[in-house]
Amino acid sequence: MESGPAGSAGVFWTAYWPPGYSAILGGVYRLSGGPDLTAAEVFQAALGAVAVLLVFLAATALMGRGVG
Amino acid sequence: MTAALLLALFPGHALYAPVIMTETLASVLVAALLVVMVWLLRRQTPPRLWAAAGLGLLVGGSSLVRGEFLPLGLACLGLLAVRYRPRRRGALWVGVGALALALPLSAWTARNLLVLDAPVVISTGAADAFWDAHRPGATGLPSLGAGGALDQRLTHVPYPRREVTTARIRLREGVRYLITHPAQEARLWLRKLYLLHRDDSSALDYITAWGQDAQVSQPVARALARSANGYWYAILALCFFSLPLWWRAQREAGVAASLPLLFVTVWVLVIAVLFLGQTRYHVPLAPAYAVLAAPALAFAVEKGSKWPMAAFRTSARATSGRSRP
Repeated sequence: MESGPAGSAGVFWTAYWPPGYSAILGGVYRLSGGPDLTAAEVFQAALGAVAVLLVFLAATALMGRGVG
Repeated sequence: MTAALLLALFPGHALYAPVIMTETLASVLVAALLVVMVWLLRRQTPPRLWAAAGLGLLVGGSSLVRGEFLPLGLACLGLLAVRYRPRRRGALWVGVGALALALPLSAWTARNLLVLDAPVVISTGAADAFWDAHRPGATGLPSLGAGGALDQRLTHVPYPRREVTTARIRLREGVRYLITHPAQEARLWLRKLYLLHRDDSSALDYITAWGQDAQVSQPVARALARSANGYWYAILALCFFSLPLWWRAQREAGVAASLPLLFVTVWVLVIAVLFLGQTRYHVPLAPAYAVLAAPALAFAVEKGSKWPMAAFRTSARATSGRSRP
């Protein structure tokens, strides 16, 4: 996936950002059948929910259920 | 449940869900790394080597999402190297972790060597941000157009060589400024620490396209920004009041109790010292801030729920004392 500031005549900087996020977003778009903003938003909302679960696990392991 | 609840209600975190940028993914990776590190640090001896490979791959892969994961991951490996006994097995374990960390980065670096003819490890944009943070007239915030003079000077250099040449020059000039202007740099570090924490409503800038997008009305956007900022300042206050509780937690949880503070410190220092103080750069740390803030709130809730019962008991004792013949 090309990224970064556009160069002249449509040439792009290809290592301006690391590729991890673009690669994962590319995977989401592939699953949804093409670039789909809603699919990306749903995916990110799900990630946010996963983060809540992970925080519960980490804080419970550190300080017990009340803090978790 | 307190930390989970704090994160679930975190407006600054939730508002980034519809923003197509790395913040949400990076915050999940921070949370995942925190869980893995808690599990690893609760042990005295290293687990099997596949766990080291897993940790390394998680950190290496995360570094390809945001570069801040590289110093954070190295700090985690350092902590495990100090923790694990026997020393030799611990060193082997950490070595395997470091090798696994290098794998995803090597694949990307090899690609850059082939395509750009230069071993770019993370990104050429990092050199841009580094230069923007360490140049005459730097404010600690990103500037648009400050690098225009160099861009003009290099218009004759063909792509893709121009990308690498620009990054090399910016990195060299940034390092030179960093070394020769220590007083300005120290002042900028403090300013960047402030800029990094001054609010938590940056997602709204992207959602409303800086007020140009009418999908969210101005009054609603302002109300959301106020609530996000208020919540953020409360989280920071709770983090401060939780510090003594985390100190006390070291008795039971050991060195693992220092993890939330370590995550925040490493991430914030890397940004404040090396890069720019945009408030959105603290957003991936939301899980670490939620964990760090939780003990003070849990403590206050526990005390608060006991207080009416204690008052009732005292009053009941006083009443029964008076009625005694």
